[in-house]
Amino acid sequence: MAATIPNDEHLEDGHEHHGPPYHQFESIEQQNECYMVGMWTFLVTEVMFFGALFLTYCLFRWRYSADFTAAHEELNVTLGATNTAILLFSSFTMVMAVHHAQLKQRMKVFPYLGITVLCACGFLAIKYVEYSQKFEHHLFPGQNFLHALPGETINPLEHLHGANPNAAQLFYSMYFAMTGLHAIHILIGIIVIGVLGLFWYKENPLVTEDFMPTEMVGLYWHFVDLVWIFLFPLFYLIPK
Amino acid sequence: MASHDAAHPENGAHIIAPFVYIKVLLALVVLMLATVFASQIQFPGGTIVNNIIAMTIAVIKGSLVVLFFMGVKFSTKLTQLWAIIGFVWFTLMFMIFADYATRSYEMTPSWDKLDTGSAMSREMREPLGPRGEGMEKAPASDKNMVNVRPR
Repeated sequence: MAATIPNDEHLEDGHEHHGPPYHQFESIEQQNECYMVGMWTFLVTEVMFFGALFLTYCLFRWRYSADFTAAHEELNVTLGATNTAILLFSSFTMVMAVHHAQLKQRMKVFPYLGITVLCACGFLAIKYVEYSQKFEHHLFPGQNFLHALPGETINPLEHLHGANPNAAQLFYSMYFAMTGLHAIHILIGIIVIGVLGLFWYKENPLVTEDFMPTEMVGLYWHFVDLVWIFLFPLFYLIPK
Repeated sequence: MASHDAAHPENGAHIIAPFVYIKVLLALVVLMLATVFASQIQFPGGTIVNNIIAMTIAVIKGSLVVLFFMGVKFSTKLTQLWAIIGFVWFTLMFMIFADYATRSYEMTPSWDKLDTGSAMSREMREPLGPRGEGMEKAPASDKNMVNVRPR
């Protein structure tokens, strides 16, 4: 009964109400704010745990600056810059998907979500090329760091560019830990954006009636982009 | 219900014109090219200048993403507080550099190519004795007395 729920204008006209704002919220603005604050709380935890890695990296780079400079020459700036451009563009397509979700233009949400997923896959493909080169040159930290297998003609020491092997191993530990963790985030992003696209395709009211789930996925994706904005200059562009 | 204009539809969204997003994207790409270009230049003042420039550009790029793509510029005050708080904490954490900058660094034997061990012997860690009995014999290189540990 409408009379039992005062302050709910949506029930006053006697129609049953579906979709946002849900009954525990006073207004759509309050509901949207709850979404935003909840998502940002999660993103703050992400800032914190990526932050610890950034600090560790900065301390090691400060202490072994000469070795880090030498070791980083092995990284391919062109591939790194391409990946940056891809992620920036995917952030743009994501924000356009959110834009059309806000306007409830369902048929325009798909293509933008699709391009975003394609960009994410492209990013991982380039990352795969980069990683496999490092593996082939025995630059993955651990037992086999710099240890060429019998019969291999590769001299892993050439790929250190004169860096101290121990400091270089530290560099590659940070490189694989941070870009690897970032790549896992990309992978999760592909899955989440894919599921979101499926919901849009199925006309699930969860996403068609309320643009906020799309907005939340967008926030996550922009955060992944934000992390890469800092990873790229820190790893690929160490000054000589 | 009151009529809703294009900028404030019924779902409470704050609609931003797509050309704003396009401009932000262009700015981000230009800044990305600028940071690659700046890293190739040898600035007077050394690599610290390169690092400051690279990080300044990264912060500008990050701010553009947070403000426009993540929409924090147009969010409510509470959301803005929540968005800022993580980065404030992140900045505060870097105060740890004050500690690292003012202490001498203890080399560990494992960094010596001739020594593959990873643990430090007590004699190595405290060559002057556990209470610094041999302090007058402190080597000149150990100016900060890092090898004398209070207990």
